[in-house]
Amino acid sequence: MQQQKLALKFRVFHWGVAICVLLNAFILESGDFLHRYLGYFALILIILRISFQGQKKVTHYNPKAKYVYWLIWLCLFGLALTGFMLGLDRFFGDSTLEEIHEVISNILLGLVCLHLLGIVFDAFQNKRKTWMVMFTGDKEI
Amino acid sequence: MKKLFTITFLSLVLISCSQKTECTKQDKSMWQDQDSFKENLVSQGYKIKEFKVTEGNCYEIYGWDKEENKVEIYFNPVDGSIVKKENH
Repeated sequence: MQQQKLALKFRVFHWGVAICVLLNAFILESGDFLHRYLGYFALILIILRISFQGQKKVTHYNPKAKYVYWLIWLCLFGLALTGFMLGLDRFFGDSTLEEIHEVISNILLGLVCLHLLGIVFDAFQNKRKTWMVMFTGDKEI
Repeated sequence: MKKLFTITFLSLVLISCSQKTECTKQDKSMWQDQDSFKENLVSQGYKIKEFKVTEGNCYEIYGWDKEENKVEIYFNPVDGSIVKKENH
């Protein structure tokens, strides 16, 4: 068994984005000053995260998890884009775009549930402490 | 298992402090007529881009006030008072 360490910066991005998503989805009202700026903050985190990723290959326990992650990224970008557009004069308060923003947010929350289920499944079924990766950074391959 | 419970508990706490603006508890029959409410705002100098009735029983507008500020405002639909105003 080989040990891999997930760098602290990636864990910080993960929890930073997670907190932004949870706050915006459940606590802060749509259109709030904080809702908007947390959204932009999350976008900056995501862009930084991608630029730090470089060419390094990531090993996933379950190759299918990769698709969930890609969809999560896609939703995050979709939320940032539609959220930004809702602030433009042209789409300010636009009901259709608001609905799209909400649908993407619901899909994202669904994907987050899948993500959590995967972690729980891994812990009980495969007895792997996958969830520790995002806390301590320790990953056994 | 303990951690799972802790996480569930914390999520419930998070959800329960959700800040959805509530404007009135009064019955819809007490609410102002939507069209005259909008006309009244326009006559005060507001420009309304979108008008919505929110889940929290508010009349909400997206538009511009008389100083041309881009605003999102939640009104009490009964007395027409401003409950929350967001500058954009």
